[in-house]
Amino acid sequence: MKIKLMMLVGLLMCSLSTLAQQKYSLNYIIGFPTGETSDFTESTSFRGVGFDFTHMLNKNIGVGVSVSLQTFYDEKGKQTTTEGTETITAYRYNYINSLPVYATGTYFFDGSKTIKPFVSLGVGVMYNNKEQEFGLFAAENDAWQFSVRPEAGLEYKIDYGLGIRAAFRYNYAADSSDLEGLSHMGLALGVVWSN
Amino acid sequence: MKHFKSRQLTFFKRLVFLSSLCLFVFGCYPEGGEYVEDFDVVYTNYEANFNFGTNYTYSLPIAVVDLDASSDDDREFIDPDYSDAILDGIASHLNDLGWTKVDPENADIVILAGAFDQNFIAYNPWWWDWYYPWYGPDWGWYYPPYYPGYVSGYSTGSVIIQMTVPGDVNSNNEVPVVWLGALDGLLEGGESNIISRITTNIDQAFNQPPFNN
Repeated sequence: MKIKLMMLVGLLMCSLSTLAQQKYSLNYIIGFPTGETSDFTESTSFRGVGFDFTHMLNKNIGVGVSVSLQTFYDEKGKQTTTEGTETITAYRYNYINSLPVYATGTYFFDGSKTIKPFVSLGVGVMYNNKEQEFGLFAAENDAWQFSVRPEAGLEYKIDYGLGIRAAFRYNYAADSSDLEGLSHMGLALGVVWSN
Repeated sequence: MKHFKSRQLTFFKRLVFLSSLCLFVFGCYPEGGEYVEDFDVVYTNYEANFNFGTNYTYSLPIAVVDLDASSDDDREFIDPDYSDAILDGIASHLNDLGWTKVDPENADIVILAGAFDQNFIAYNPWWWDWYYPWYGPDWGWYYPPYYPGYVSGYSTGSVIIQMTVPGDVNSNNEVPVVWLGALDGLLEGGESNIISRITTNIDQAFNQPPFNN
């Protein structure tokens, strides 16, 4: 049954790829922590990368998938914390690794010959790993969290089938039982190509 | 054919770009601590009901026990330079508190100190017994309302300091440990650097509750 389902999905993908245009984009992402994320790691992240695939249903509307990875990091310095009668002093380093995965729907405005503005909405999950290193030890917590990502951006055509793009996105993550929602914003800069 | 080559080149360029981007992003993944002192941890815990504000008498051991090398029948000590740094640091802070150093038989508080540099699977303070001249075969130690959770599992250089109160032995012949300090860090660097870190971390331990209240 599984093999039949996989074949069906494969055939569907093949038929889609031969019948319509597809877009691929690879992005370098600057991440801006928000909410609980900025409470833990307040610094802007310059360590992000993402890949988007969009299948165009017509010249304005596309559906696809988007995946990215963003690492937030802060050196907190030497800190002393007391809980009850226990006290620990150590240098602390905070990390958040976010891996959002979305199914996306995108609307491309007509724009001009070279510039196409677009808006997009992604719905999916975000894997968040929150870790604090203190001295030789580390405490970490992770969770898959429901996530929504509105996005707005521009594509600039350089050549046939090749362009650059810039987009601003908000990766919202809902609270989960193990971890508070760790959301962030991102400025994605990259290339887009199509066939 | 020419078109095919062109597509191949484009694909290759994309692959190089993609690889470069990934290498750039993941190649500069933050690594945390850089210097050995960045990995030091000072942990303290104590019995909340014990009055640390009194001018007690205390005793120190003659040296710090090497917990890796020692056994029931064979006591070993760590390097005398490190041992002296640890014991001098403790004495300095206790004297500052107004406490007075005396022989173990006359001490309100008996200080126990040990160190180890290998995996430490479970906390079992059997090595302390020889400090007590009146120690009986069934005696042991206990931690009144707190549990020293961070002591187990240390895998690198650690110094453990305990304050015990022999006068408060319970009906099970267990002596309470009213304060515990653990200094943990990498056993790296020259002797002077390690001694400096030991001194700094002992200073920190006595700058934490209950002594900084």
